[in-house]
Amino acid sequence: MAEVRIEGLTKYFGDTCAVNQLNLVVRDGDLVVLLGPSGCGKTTTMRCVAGLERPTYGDIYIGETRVNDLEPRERDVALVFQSYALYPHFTAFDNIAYPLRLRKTPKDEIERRVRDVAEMLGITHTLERPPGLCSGGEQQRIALGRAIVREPVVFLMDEPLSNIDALLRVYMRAEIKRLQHELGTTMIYVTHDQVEGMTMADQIAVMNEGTLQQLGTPSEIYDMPANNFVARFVGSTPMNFIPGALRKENGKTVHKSDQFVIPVDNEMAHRAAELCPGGVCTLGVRPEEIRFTMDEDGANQAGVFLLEPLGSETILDIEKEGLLLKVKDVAATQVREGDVLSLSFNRFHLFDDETGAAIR
Amino acid sequence: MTVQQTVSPLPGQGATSANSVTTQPPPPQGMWSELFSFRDNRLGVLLIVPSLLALILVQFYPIVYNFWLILTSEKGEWIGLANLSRLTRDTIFHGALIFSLKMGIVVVPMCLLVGLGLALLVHSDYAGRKAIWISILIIPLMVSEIVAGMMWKIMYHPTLGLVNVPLAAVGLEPIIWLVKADTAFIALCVVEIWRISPLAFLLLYAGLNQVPRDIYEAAAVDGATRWRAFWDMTLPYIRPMFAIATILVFVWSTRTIGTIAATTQGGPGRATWNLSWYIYGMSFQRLKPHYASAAVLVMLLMTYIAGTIFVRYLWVERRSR
Repeated sequence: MAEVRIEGLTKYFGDTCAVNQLNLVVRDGDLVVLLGPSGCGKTTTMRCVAGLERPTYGDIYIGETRVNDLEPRERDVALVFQSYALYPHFTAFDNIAYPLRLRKTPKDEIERRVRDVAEMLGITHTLERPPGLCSGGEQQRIALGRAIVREPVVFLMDEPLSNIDALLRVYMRAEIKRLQHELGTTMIYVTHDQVEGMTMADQIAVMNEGTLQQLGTPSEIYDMPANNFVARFVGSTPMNFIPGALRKENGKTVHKSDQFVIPVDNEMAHRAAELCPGGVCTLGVRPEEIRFTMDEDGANQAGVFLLEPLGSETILDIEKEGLLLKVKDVAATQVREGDVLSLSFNRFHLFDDETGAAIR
Repeated sequence: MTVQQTVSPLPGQGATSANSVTTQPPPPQGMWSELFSFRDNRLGVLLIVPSLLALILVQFYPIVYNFWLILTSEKGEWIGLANLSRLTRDTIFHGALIFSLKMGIVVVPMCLLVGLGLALLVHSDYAGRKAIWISILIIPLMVSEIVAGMMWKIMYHPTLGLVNVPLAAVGLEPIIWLVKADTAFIALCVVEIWRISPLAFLLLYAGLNQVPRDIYEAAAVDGATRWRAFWDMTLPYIRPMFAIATILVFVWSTRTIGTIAATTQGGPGRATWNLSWYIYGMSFQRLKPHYASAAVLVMLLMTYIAGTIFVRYLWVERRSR
């Protein structure tokens, strides 16, 4: 078990910069999720840690050892591939046993450890079969077993759940999290699925275009996004953005847009004046932080044009003068399409239009 | 491993719904009865008749005709197995058979080695434009046996040939390659290796391209060296291609005739007679096609047995442990 330290990691493929000046510390025993859209550099980062890619610049440490010049086999990391990369000509048993065989583990110990792992993952019945005759979920567990069996210092997971069906995915992500907690092994988990990231991670590192956008616990990432990219990317119903500017009206600061006038408290107004002198900023508010009443005379009125019932809650699609807002209605109110609502904004974030950074 | 907790069954697994009783189609009654249930497949059977006829004409008729030739004399009289028993006493035939086998034993492993080496080189990241390499490397395949033989005959020329140039450079006497039995054998093997290696290369290169890249990465992370990964991942994967390459190279090298015709003409003496040259000479020079047909049968059997052995020992799926 070990800490993974990534210092100034930069990786070029030809002229394309896949990872740019990445600094990241994964504490010993933590599960860190690298989260970001496709092509954001998360897989490249992980492959650099595994030793499958050489960093163009920067250093990677596993424990106290600088591993830049070590071959993958010398790093003692285990990698679960998105494609599983099982050895099709071996049986499941041989797949799991292979890393142990390479380490010249005695035969009876291999037998015992493979059976233990298989039992732990519930795949004992597949051991004599080649992977081609196993279901997707079983293949996924065989790949996990191959990683677990050698008790590496770091687990690396490259979107391991993206090829299995939705129901099994929900089940397996809890399973992987439980395994990681029980084994206590450091894990770097790559995914583009923000729900997976939120549910599994001790820490989430959100990446975009090769750079780290924010590192924090899931609740930090959700409640205090560092910039508008993180705010937009995290959240199953995305955050609403209202472009506008901060203005003084009757001695009070408000965020004024073409559609709404939203009062801003003094503290935030003060910081905004410091950080964003022009006052041009976008207001971001999560769908569950918008309150509404059916009051016809209230401020900030807008019409409902679509209802999206999800069972436990309903998403109201609200439109005003070209601006679309999604509002979560958890109280099962009797709103119907065409109703006019009066909106109030409970908690919101302000993002500098120039830099995209959050004002706080 | 310290954790000893088992996983509960997956949601939706194990339980089958009670009211999912559906009528199942009847079990199949075997391939043949299905194929020839004329009522269902009338059109299908009609459609394969032309190719079946063509197959009979070009495949089975010559084989059957060959057997008829063996069992009769040049005058058309029935002589039973006399032609075959005569073969067992024919020392020239024995020499040709041994020469063919010797050639196979040298040429097959060399072609596979050269082919595999070339395939690995072209498949590696070091080879830039692979298409260019492939088109250059398969040129020998495109050259006819006779042309290849003529070319190499010039190269083996004692004074003018390229092959003796390096020998002369280090002050050695030129070797008159095609005149002595043992050097002629080596010279012919070299021509055959040059001519047939590209076939092994093509097949093995195709095999290498089927190996998924990610299993090499998985093996590297699991702790395998490059050599170990080649042994554990590459070789088992290209095994079927190896079997096919072995059979084809064996057949190509043992049946060669053009190369011999263009270089040694079977000489010196009868030192480089192989089965094809023997059969050709027996049929068209000594005009004994019936007797030659017996040799054809032996050649066919030899190839068939060798092929079966190669398939059995090379093509079997690996089950380690």
